[in-house]
Amino acid sequence: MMPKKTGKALTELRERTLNYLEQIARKSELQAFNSVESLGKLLERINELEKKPKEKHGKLFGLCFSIKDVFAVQGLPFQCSSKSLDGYIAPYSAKVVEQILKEDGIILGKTNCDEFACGSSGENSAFQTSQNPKFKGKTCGGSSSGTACSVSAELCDIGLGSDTGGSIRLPATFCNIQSFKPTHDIISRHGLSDLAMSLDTVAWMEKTVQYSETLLNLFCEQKEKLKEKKEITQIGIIREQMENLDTKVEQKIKKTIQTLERKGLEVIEHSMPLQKIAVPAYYACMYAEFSSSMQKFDGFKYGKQFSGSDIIEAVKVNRSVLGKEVKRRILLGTYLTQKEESQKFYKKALTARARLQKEYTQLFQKTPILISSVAPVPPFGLGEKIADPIQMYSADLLTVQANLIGSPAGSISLGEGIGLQVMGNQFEDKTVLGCLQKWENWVNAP
Amino acid sequence: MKIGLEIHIYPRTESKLFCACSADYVGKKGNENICEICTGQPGAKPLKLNQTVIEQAIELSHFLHGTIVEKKQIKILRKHYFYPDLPNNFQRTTEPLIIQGKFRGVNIREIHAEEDAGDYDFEHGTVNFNRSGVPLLELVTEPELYSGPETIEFLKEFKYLLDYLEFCRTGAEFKIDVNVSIGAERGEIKNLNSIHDIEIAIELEEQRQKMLMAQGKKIVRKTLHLDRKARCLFESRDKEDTADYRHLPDPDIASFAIDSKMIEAIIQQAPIHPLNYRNQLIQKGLAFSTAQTICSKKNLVKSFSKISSRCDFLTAGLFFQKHVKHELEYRNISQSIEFLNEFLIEIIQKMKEKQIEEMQAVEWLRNKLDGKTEMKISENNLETAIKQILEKNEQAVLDYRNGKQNSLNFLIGKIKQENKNQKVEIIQEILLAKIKN
Repeated sequence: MMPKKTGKALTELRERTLNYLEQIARKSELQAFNSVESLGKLLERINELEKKPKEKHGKLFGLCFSIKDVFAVQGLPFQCSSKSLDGYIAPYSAKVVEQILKEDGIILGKTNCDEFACGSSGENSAFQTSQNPKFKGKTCGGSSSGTACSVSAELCDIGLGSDTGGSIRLPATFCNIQSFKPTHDIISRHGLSDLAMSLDTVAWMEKTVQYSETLLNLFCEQKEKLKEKKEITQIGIIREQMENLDTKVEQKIKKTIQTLERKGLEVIEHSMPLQKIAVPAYYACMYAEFSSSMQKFDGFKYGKQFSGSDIIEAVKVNRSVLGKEVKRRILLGTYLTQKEESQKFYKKALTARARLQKEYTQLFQKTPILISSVAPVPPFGLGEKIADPIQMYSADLLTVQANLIGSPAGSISLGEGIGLQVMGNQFEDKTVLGCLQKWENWVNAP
Repeated sequence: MKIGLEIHIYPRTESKLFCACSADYVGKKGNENICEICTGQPGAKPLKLNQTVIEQAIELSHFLHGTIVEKKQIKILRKHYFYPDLPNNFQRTTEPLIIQGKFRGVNIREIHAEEDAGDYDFEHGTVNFNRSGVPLLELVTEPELYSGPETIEFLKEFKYLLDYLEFCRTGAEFKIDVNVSIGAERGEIKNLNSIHDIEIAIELEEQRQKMLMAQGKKIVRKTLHLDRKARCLFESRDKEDTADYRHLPDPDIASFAIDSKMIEAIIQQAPIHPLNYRNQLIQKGLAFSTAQTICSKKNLVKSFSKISSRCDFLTAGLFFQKHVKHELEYRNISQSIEFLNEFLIEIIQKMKEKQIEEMQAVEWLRNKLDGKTEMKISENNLETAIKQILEKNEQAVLDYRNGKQNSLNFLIGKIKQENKNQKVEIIQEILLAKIKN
């Protein structure tokens, strides 16, 4: 009896995985993937997993992952959607990737994103622009555009990405799926290419909140710091975050708040005028750190070899392949951290960040969970904002706060590319996840 | 003339500063001692700062009377500049760990830890990253040295201290940047790695500045390198003088505090200060060279300080200088030699009392170190040897007892034959005592 039973399970695993592979090929016009694992390697992996007796199955057995191209997966191209890394094969694997493989997960390929995760629409990729599978002609949001696309179009089970200022929550929202960004630095960033290290967080997306808790438990390296899950009776909203919303977004959020109230939750309105400094503080901090971490891309070490007449000349030539937005951020970051300028801007941004942190801590003492819209606008069209960085940056208006204060935040899709953001205090990851799980059915009930 | 030094020391650690690669890079094949962290692969994150380096800094501070920084948050900074040997194009350095030290009257401004760069082969355009990430301690002095010879003397004494502490990595000791100024602005000569080079560099820089002054020209701040073959200084092609390193606290590594318990433990275990002890020994009557030799090694000082009050001081000093150090070095013994203490007291006393000659003492020391036990050191063993010979030569004993003086010479000859190192007087003394019984 036994062999027959396992035999059936094996076919399922094989069928599911190969089906994903087929769908990826079939839906290549979505431009979700920068590189896909070879069929040979995948079959090898499937064979290896099939041989395992059931009691030895890892926690992610047979789950198929798409991995944002900012993570190192040994043997696969590691390009961060940048020409400067064209042809670079990762010589090592990110810590989280190692954990996925150890727990019997399957890696299908590397997904497209804004170059070095710089962008909010996916349009800054040097290779291709991922298409929104739910709304034709619209962007997927960014920077984890291809990752959101791959989950939304059912090309994988789970999309692993990174979130520096909303890079997971925004595209998940635009593509009608769910996402979670844990507390900063409870998960190792080893193997995650830098955007801004004090903000970067390993994060993920899925169609429904199903494996988030498993992933959190698996990846978290500071379990002792995580707080126990709390039952929530009160939730807070910040008045300033309800202003300047697109009408459609505002209506949807208000309706959602009513739904939550009907379910017995008390919604408390707070005011935080400091909200207006969040985006400027975020961009100053991010520019500064990004310019530092981008120093290493001098063209001598990874992928294609470039050259010049002397070192400085060579660096100049080699770095000219970087995209416009990446260059803009490097230049501004270099400027901000110069001796004469750092007092004027960067130090101020750090002070603003500390103040924001303090105000949020006080707010979380009053209501442990804060909600808002994920984005002020619904999905915008391809090409619509790419020419105007200020407009593009405003897509991050409501998401950067969680990164600035290092707290956990997730998103629940409300349909139509609009999402509800749920945010808790640092280390309240389990409570936030609990809300996502419970509410995803409430808010989408007809 | 004012001279200030920036001394980069390679402390002895097993691994690099921020990764698990071996810090022992000397003599390895090119790019064999590397990982994703010390070659700056995209996404690679540093590990926690190697604590041994902090321990080493504390130990060094103890000998320089430094103040250990008790700040709760010592940051790790990124110092940015482009160079092919620097994988991240920034170098990680700690904020000062030690401040306000003093060595031979010269104030030490600070000591901090930093990572070394790789090795750039300019001709071939290749980089060997084996050394990349190896820890360095940088010690900065105030410009309180006033001549070339004074600087050399300072460095020789400093190296004497480092050698005594066995502080530096074998095959890589230090590299030094020298700042020289005869007026307002200074010239900095970078990357000198021998005392001889430093001597030349100071001389050349003094000449250069004097010449400019004589010509009525203004001396401007310059970064220079020494060309050893041409015996001249050349200007650095990189614009290091005007560089803005854009120091930024590293967001990848948490700031840290130096643990006060760790400080206590290290200071408690610290060996005797060799320069102070050398002075004491000279005051008590040892020649400079004798004291200098004894104080060059931790184990010699430790042993000498224990035994010298229990045997003849001057004999002990000379024996340590002439023989103990040599015999230990010959056998590569650098650990404690406390187990020799009683033995040394005994043979030094015997030498002093002329019971044994110097060469005999050395031979016993060698045997002791080589684990040979056949050669016993006490008179008891000589007595046993004599007893055995007497038993074999009963007739000769009887003859002597009957008044035959020649028999005694015969017996002494026999004994001396088998105990060549023993003095005739001693043999005779024991022999007579035995026969008369």
